[in-house]
Amino acid sequence: MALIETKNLTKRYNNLLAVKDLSLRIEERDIFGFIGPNGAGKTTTIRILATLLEPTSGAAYIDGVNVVTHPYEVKKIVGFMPDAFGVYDGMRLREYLDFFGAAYKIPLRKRRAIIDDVLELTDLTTKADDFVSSFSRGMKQRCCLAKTLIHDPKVLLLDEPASGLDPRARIEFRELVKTLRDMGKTILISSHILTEMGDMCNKIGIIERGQLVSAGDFREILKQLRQTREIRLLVVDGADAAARVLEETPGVEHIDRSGNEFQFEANLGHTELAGLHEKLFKAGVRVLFFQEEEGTLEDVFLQVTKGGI
Amino acid sequence: MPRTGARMRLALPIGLAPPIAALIKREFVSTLRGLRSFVLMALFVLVCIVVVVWLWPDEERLFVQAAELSRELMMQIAFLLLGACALFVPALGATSIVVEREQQTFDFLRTTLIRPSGIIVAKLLNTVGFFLVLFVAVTPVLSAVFFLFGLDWFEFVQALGILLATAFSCAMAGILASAWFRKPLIAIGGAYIGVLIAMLGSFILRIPVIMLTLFGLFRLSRLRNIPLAWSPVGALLALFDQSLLPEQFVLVLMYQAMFCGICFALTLNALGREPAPPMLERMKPIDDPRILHMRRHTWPYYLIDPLARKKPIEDGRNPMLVRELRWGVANRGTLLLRTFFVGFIIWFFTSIPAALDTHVEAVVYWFVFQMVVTAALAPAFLANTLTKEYEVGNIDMLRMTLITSRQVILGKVIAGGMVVLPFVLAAIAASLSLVIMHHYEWELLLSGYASLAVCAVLSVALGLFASLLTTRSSTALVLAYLLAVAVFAGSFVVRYLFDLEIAFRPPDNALHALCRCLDSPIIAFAVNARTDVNGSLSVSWLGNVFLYGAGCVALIAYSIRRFERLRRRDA
Repeated sequence: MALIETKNLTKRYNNLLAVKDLSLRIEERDIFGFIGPNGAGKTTTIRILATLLEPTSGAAYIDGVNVVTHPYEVKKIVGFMPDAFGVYDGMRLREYLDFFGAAYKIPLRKRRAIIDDVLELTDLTTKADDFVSSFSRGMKQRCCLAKTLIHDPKVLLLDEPASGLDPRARIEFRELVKTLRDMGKTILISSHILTEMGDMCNKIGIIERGQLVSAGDFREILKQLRQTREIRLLVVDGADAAARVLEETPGVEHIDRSGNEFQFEANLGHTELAGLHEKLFKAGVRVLFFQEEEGTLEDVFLQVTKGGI
Repeated sequence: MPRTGARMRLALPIGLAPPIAALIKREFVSTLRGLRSFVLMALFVLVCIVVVVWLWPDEERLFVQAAELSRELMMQIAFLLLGACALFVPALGATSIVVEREQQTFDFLRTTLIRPSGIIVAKLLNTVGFFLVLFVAVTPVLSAVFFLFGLDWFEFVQALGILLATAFSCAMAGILASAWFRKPLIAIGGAYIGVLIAMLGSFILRIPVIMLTLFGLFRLSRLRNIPLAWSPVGALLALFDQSLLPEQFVLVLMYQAMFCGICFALTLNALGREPAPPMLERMKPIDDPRILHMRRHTWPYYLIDPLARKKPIEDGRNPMLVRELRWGVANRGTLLLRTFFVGFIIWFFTSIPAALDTHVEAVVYWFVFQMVVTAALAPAFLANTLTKEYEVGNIDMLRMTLITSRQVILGKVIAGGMVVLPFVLAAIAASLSLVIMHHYEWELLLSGYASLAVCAVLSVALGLFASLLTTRSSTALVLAYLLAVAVFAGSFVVRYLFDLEIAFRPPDNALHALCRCLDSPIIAFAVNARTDVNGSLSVSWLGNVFLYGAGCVALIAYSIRRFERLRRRDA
């Protein structure tokens, strides 16, 4: 069942078309990575889904509820973490979360236990009595996530949540997102840090100039985009013989040799590739390493996008 | 790549000039590029045009009173320019550094080759430049004065000199406040206090006078009896009254130059220091109940501990109201207590003449004074109530919650009312001396308190409304004051323009009575109190209170609707 769905979503700001006919389906328990260059329309789409912005045309649904006609119902099931946010001066973390708990109409008798839970989940229990205004950037980010989780939303919309975090905080944040997925949340996350998105997300959507250029399972997209396999070969000895075998094999192209190491593109199936391995063995080449290189999200991104905004 | 001719032409002025020129250019362009500058300028020119058209004589008077009218016109425009200078220039200066600090661009500026004094000069020239642009914009209107042949060129230059000197002082006052304070609103407030000193300061002015007298350059005795001799206001009045003495003109320029110099030195000193961290960051929570108990029993300022742990928000209560009261108002409890005591002292001492005077007018003027002060201070408390949510970045999180627009607005209004309350309570407490000494008719006191309450609520509602019209606190503050001036002084200006007499007598017809209802609450109270020595409550005063009370409710209701619309779209 699609928990997040948009149909021909369009948003226009005067002469600027921020989002154009965007249709998207995100299933339950998906972690959907929404990527695109700056100004591509990611934040606009997320803000429409969060009920903060009305689309010019098209429709958007969260758990089957229309975000334009029933924003109040949507707010109950959505947790939104904006890319830029502030904190209230003079409030301790527990008081800050209590305020948002009350704002989400969580009864007082349940609120304390929920606050303890989200503090533990975000690893902020020891900071509960500290003033939020004194937190570092990473701590504020976690504090905002704690606030976002306070009403136990089914859907999380995280806009650039890892920007400005140090490496440790990023790793911790990545683990936290995985924990949330295990808890059954559906997460739409936008980010520029593609290596992390590749690690975290099971699905991606690439947006450019307001249009969705590619969406779906990350590995499926990679397969569609790549016509040939990229193979890395490392030999102990017989490098010249290996070079000859590769040059003679039909379907092997763009051979790049660096000493005993080869990198080449092979337009071959599994059987032909096993045959190539056998040929190398028969030619007296002692193979140390023969592996197909996995594509990265960066490769996909660069291949799909044109670099404009 | 070879440089094109156009590129070279563009690069030359900045490349050859010192780096400060680049800063001045950037500042000036960004100031003039904004819609706010255009609107302010357009409005100002429009007001000047209205004044000229209004005062322009008919054919019969044109030749007989031309000279007199040209002076009258010049005086009106000069005072409008002085008003614009006192209102806009400090606000522009006050946001110049503090906003850069907020946007975290000030450190970029400090790491360039521009010296701190260069930064101040650039900000000063940009701020005064805005005033000059304003002056240039009204030049076509101003030229009308010369068609009437009454104004001497030298007088015109003198007026311009006084205005320019004042513009520099106001700008420096703003820049100093901007360097001193961390928040734009506080900086703007500080800048206006600086302007008051520049315009009316009375103590430091004696220094140049004494110096001039010591050197035997001017005769002090000639200036001693001139009211506000050092002030630009006094000098302009004297100029158009043809009684401006040369030494007074020099004194005004020297006073402004001295004020500018002091502000410049203080700003330079402030820029050399790191700004102090916010008060709350410096304070440590007090966990020891013994110390807390002791502090809370030390009269009078530690009755409230801003860092005390707050209890959770109860079910069924408006979370926004609770947040505003428990964390906003209560955290400033000590400040509010001080406000109450300071307010009480001011009201009490100003009530002494009224208490000693047997005339009812003294009490009326005292109440009017209270209302004017309340109307002048209250908009500032609410003007940033929603804009600060935008500026801090909380607005999206607030919009995403289940709190209704009604809860948000009512929470903000009630909390705003609580901030104004110490003033009003201090006024009530101070007025007890009047009741004890004179046993005034209860109607007079009742009408005074009722009008005071209406003024307070109206100011709060106007501040809130201004906060909904923009996303920047500095703009909201200016808007709040423009709205307050329009509402509280609007009827007065209309009467002045239409030459309508404010008759202190009971209304003799329905139209007159209706006019009274529409009057500003301050004027309505004064008129009601003076029409009847016993201060009995007239129908038109009751109508006025009812009308403005209903207006407040309508404004708050409209604010709720407007906020609801704003919640559904980005600013």
